[in-house]
Amino acid sequence: MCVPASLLRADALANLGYSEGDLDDKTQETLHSALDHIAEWSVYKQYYCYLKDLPATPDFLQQVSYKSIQGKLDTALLFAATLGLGIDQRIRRLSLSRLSEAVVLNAVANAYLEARTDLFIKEILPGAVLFCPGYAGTSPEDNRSVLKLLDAQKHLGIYPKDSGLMLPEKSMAGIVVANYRFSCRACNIRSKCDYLRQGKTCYGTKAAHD
Amino acid sequence: MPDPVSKNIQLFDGAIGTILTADPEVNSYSPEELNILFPEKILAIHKAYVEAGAQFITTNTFSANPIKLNSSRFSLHEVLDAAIMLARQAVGDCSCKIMLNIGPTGKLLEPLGDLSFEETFENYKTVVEYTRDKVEGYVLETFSDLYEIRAAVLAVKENSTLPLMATMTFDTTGRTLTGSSPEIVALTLTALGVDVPGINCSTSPEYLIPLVKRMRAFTHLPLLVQPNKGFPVLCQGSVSYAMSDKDFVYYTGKLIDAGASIVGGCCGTTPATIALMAKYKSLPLKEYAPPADSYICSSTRLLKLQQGLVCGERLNPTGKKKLQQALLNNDFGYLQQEALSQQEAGAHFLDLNVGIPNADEVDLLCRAIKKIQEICDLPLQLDSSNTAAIEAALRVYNGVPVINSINGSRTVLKSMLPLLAKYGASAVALTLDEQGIPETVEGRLRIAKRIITRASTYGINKKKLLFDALVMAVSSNQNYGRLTLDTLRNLKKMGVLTTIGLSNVSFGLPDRPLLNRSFLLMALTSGLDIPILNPLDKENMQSFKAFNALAGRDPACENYIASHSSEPVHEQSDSLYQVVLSGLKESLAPAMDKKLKEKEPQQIINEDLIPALDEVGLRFEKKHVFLPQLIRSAEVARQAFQQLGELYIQQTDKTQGLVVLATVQGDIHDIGKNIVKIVLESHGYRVMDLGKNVDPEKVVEAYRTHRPLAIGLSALMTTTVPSMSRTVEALKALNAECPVIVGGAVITESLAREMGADHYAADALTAVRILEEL
Repeated sequence: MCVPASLLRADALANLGYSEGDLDDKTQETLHSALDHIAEWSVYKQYYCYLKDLPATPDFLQQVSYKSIQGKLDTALLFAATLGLGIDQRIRRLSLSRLSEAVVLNAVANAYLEARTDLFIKEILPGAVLFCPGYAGTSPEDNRSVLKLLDAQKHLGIYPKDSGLMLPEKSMAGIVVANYRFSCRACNIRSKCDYLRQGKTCYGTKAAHD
Repeated sequence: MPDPVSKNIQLFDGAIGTILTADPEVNSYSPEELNILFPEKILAIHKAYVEAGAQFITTNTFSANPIKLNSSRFSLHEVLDAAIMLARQAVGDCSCKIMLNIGPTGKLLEPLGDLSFEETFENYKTVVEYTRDKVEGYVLETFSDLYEIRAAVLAVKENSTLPLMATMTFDTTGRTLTGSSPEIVALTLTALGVDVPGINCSTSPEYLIPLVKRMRAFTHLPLLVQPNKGFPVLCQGSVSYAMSDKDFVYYTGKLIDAGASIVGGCCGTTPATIALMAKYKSLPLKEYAPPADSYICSSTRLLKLQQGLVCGERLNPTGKKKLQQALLNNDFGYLQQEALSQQEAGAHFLDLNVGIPNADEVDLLCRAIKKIQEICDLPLQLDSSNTAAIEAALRVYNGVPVINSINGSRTVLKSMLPLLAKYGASAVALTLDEQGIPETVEGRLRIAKRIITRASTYGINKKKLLFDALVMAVSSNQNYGRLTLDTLRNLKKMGVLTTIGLSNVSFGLPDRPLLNRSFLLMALTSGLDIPILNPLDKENMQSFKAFNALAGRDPACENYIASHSSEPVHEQSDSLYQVVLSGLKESLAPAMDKKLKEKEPQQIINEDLIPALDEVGLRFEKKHVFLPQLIRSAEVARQAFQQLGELYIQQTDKTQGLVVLATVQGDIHDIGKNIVKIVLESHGYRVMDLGKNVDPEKVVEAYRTHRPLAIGLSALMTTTVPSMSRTVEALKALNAECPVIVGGAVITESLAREMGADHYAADALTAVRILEEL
């Protein structure tokens, strides 16, 4: 699976609100079963290209909402990854018959996609992070541009929807940026950010330091 | 009509896009527009392929369909006319055939995406209607969804008589994007009457060799194979293909050995590649036999029709008021759960019947098929006596199904056999005719022989038919059981597969499961291959598995042993309160039995279920238990409520009321909404689940029709918040009397307020608390 099960467990449990000490036997069993589902039903695929190799900087990256990464595009790359449709279908199916297992599998699948992507990014651009459209006031609809530029439909089977969602659902797309640190300080929707008001951030860690 | 297949290996052309992408003068345009803007470039490519020896030239029309061309500056007709004219000009007087190239829409079909099967069909029909007098055939290329290529194949077959080649693309796992195997693709395309199925694009040619072998075992038709020239490599912003022409040609030879009949190239290949492949044109074409066995499939599961299978009978509303009502309300969740339960209980395929008085069976059957295929991968047996419903169902079914049923009536054979032939389906063949059900074995066999003879005139092999020996109630005539058994024995002598609907035998008698089980074993001994039964009847299924083990039909007794392997030991309790609190599904039945001996249903609800749920809620709020545990408790409580529900309603004449739930338009995430649903149901509320991606009008319609206690809306993505606002606005414009509760990952209290919702629920339990206060 390429990702240590212990890491996946920890991330998935954190998504579900658990700490290791809270884990009951039944959830433990469900977690094992979710890891089996991931091994059997998911196929991690990724595709990327360097921005410098494109004829011009894509229009969407020239918007002001991307100002925090605009100075770092020389080494950046466009990236997309997916776990494929099989795992989506498995979650949908479980949600009809055993919803508690579906919820756990959903959390594990999210953790797996992120962990595999982190590992891959470490390989191709050490120290870089994946900046996904939707972060820091950027529009999730820009996913469409990333996917189009990568021809992700052909290479990965990722289909963009009008709403900016992607199919398969366990997919991610964005810009891999080196020497970047997520921060709310530079964000231009900071004053009206609902995440921030709740002490959270759009990129997943607590906002206390900001 | 030109015949695309000769006695020798034939040569297709190669890539067009690869050459255009490498040309800086044109690579910023869409390839289809170049037919008009730079015709000389396209003409030169076609000419080069003709000179290289290609016998088929594909038009530069991969994306020329109404859906993909909708933002083009040129009309569909302009593009098609220009592309065909260029191919015609390049071919000139030579014998090359011009194949209109048709690619996918670039959208995912329902239920995965938004595009309907019917829209897809119409999209391709438009292309075929305009081009059928202008080309020598069609080639569908690079499809990755079996359902989409089905729509395209039907559009071509129903609107032209020209030869049709249809190829799909596979990834390194050996499956299409939507999970179909090469066997399923070959089986389905052959069943639909494609002239040449095949593979294109996909991975490097060496990876296609095993895939071609696997397709070859499932079709006797010539196979078209057009691989990429190796894997793509991104370099300096452009894609290149690393394999040499020489290696590509070597692997093409291997592909021919594996069963390819027509070879060409996809991404990365050029006229130079094709010229090197011309040497294969002298090789003789091998003939291949059709598969010896008969198969059915869904888009992801293949099933050989043979003894030892079970067909589940429970997707049938006859005598099931709850299922009838659910279908009339367009609530397919119940049907989906029945399908999954039967699959988990060991059914191999499922009979589906939606015949309800006064319902539109054509529409209902089609929608039921789509809903079941969305979540369950077992093949289906489509059960209706309505020919129009069967025809519509055969169109939309993704894969190759069984039809239930045909019989020996001349009228039925005349209407149904052409449908079986067109869609390549199997069928249950009832041994009755217009005269009724024969009372003798001979009478039934005579009809079976007539069906076989008539079917063969349509090219339908008897192996595709499951002969039903017909079971009638022994309560009305005690010889009926023996008549069925004798018929089974004699049908087996004819070398056909047999089936029966088992449970009819016990109608009108006590302890029906005992009779069904006994008759099952008698019938199996007499030659029954595939019973149609209730797989949730555990004793029936155990008897069936025991029979298979004892009759030598279960190698190493594997299935029998597996069905007796010890279940994991779970925590157990006989206290209903504890069972709900800890979510102990396995202990629910005994705990309920015990409690029902002590208390009335209403007391159980008030004194055990509600307090347990309250305690779970409290622990959840204090973070002593977490979401999976909360849901497990809710699942167990819901089952308990279902068991007690009818008694409770009878006693109190009230329920907690109806709540309508929907994930808003544009949003396809429904786990959150499903959690709310199960928690509400576990607290005694009735829930009408409108599903995901629900447009505002549908929510308004549900309000008008059902006047619910409350409406709950869910959204996961920021981009679907406007859609939630529109839904709230639409309800407020009606002055809807019921409150609107909103929630979901991106919704906050302030957003809820801004959009005019009455309440914001951060989680499922908050929704319960809000409802309790109404």
